[in-house]
Amino acid sequence: MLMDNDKISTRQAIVFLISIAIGAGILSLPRQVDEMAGQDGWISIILGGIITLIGGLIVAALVARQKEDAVKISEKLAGRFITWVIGVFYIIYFLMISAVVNQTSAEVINQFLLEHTPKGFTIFSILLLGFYAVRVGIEPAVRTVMVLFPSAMFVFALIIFTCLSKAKIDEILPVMTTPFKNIFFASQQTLFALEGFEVLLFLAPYLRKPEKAKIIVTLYTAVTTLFYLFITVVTFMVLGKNETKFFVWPVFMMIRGITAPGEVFERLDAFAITIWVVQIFTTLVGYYFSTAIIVKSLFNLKEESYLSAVFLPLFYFAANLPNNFAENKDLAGYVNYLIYPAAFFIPAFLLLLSFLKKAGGKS
Amino acid sequence: MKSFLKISSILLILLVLLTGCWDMVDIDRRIFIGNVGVDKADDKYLFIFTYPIVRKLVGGEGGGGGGGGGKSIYTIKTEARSFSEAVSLIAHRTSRRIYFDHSRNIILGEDAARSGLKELMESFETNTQTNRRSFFIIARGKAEEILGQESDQEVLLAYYIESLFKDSQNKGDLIIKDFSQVMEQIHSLKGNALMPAIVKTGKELDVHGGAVIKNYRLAGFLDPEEARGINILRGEADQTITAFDLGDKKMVVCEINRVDSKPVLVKSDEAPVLRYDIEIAASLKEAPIMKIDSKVLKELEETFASEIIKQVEKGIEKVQKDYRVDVLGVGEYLYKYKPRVWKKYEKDWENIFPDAKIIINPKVKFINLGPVI
Repeated sequence: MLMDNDKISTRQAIVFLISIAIGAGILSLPRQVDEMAGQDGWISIILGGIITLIGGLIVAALVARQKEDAVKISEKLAGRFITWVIGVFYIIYFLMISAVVNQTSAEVINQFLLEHTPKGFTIFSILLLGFYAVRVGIEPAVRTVMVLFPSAMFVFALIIFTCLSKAKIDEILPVMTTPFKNIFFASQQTLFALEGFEVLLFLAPYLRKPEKAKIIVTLYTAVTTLFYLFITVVTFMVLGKNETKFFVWPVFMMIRGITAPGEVFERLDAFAITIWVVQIFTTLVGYYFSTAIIVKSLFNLKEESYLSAVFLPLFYFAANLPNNFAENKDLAGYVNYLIYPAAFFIPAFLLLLSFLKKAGGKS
Repeated sequence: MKSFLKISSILLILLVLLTGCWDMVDIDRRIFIGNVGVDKADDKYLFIFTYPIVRKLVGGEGGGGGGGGGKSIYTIKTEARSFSEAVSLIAHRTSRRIYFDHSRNIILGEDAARSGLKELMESFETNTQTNRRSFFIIARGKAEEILGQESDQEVLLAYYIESLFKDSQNKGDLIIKDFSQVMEQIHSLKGNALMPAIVKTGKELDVHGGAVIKNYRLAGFLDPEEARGINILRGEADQTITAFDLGDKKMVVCEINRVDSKPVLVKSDEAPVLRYDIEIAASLKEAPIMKIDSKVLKELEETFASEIIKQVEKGIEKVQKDYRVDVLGVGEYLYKYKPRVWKKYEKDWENIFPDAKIIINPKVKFINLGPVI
């Protein structure tokens, strides 16, 4: 292969992680926080951002110390058995989370864009594209994301700004009237949308400067939190907190309610879906790639390219587990629990081990 | 041989991926519904759909002969229990596939609106085909009558009705709201809302005033003056033309350019007392010729301010005493800015609102005096 410099820069890593995080959550996050925290939902997102930052910094500290992927680290520190447990856990985790993402995208496409196209087909085409992107390693995949991300974000921000014409600023008032308990529980719901940094655990060997991992996660958290905050606040302002609760995909319903100025493009929803599918694609690329890395490290293999082909049917099978919104919501609920070990406990455990090992080595 | 295999396999893949488009419907196989009308029909609804026949429109709009004889708008009706059922029923009778992406107006007949709107609104809201940007209107009389109207002004009826709202020169006299805005209000006021209204007057359609929805039922209509009063109170009366008397059969016509309305809670006894500080920027449109200096102008402004009070109070009176429903946003204001006070009223707001006292405190500034002084 030509890719001998299979390393990514800090900036590339930041963009890659952000585009993993920004995806399926966009359309439904306002509803999720609204259901529990009402108009104070935006506080939950900030809270969720802080929690994400804590997890991110743990991961960053681990990566900066060990400069290797999580499987290799645990092999060195915790032994073979625990490594296998961790590896298999992460594979299941990535499979499940991409199943939720895949199913959501298929459902949205089915509802609003291609009514009669079978869900399986849309899922399969996105997965096939994902496979194509990661087949030769990380650099081409990240380059693809680097091209897609700015244009997608630009168009999406433009669409949301157009929505501001119908916004009523005082819709997010009164502030802090919901009990703090609800705000806190709602912030747990935001983790599903905000997470994505755990991929960094497996990107570590490909970072040109792994010691800058702290900067990566800090910027990553800031951008994703602000992005989700912006979208949620605008949705609350346009739809009001009572109607936001009502829709499965409130952001999308908001976009359907506006006309672009000048009426050249009367409908913006088709644009929004297109952009959104692009973001779904980049999310899946991240999880897809991480899965391949895990297996590669578990079996001590040199090349991961053919591994991603092995995972294509598995991802497809997982994506077909939930068949409708209700089942998908249940699955997303379970995945939300898996986030704690995947993004917080396991990295913290490994970091602790690495500290102990070092202390032990010294003595 | 190898390259042949490569190329042929790529072609094969293209064959599979590019041809099987499940959802392709060419534009000439589509119908774009312009208006949706709903009337009450026994225990069901009568749905009326109108759509343009594009064939007949071609060349018609430029005034050059038109595209053949006959009507350019097709009307199709069916009785059904809900929107989706109606669409599925007319699908048996239309030659092309039905799309609502460009529908302009959803018009509900008075009978249907009086008998309850909850099911109907939910049926529109849950259907993904509904165009949330179309105007959501209550008809005085039957929707069927409105949609049977032929307009000489515009070729397309849907476009005609839409322009009545969109390009109105006197926006303060009407309630202008599209589907998404009406539904937003319905949800946040728990079944109450202000909606646009439409009526047939001879050869034209008239969209003055508005309709008041109380608990998902039509409570009644507003005349233009009442609508104007409510619009001024809510700070939504930009581009509004209104007049006031000076005595001696003289009168002044002026246009409100901008309204800024801020409620202030004065007292919260059994019923709240609120003061609305309304700042109005207006321009003189028509006035008796006289020397206007700053002293005269001051007087004019004060006279206009007292006229504003009269108009706003008329609007308040109607919804507060006659319809007894809070579509003014008083409860919304209390909830948002005085959540503690709101807790006191929340449960019984429907009965407290009619006793709420609203003080109007307008401040007028003329920013444009016209060509003659």
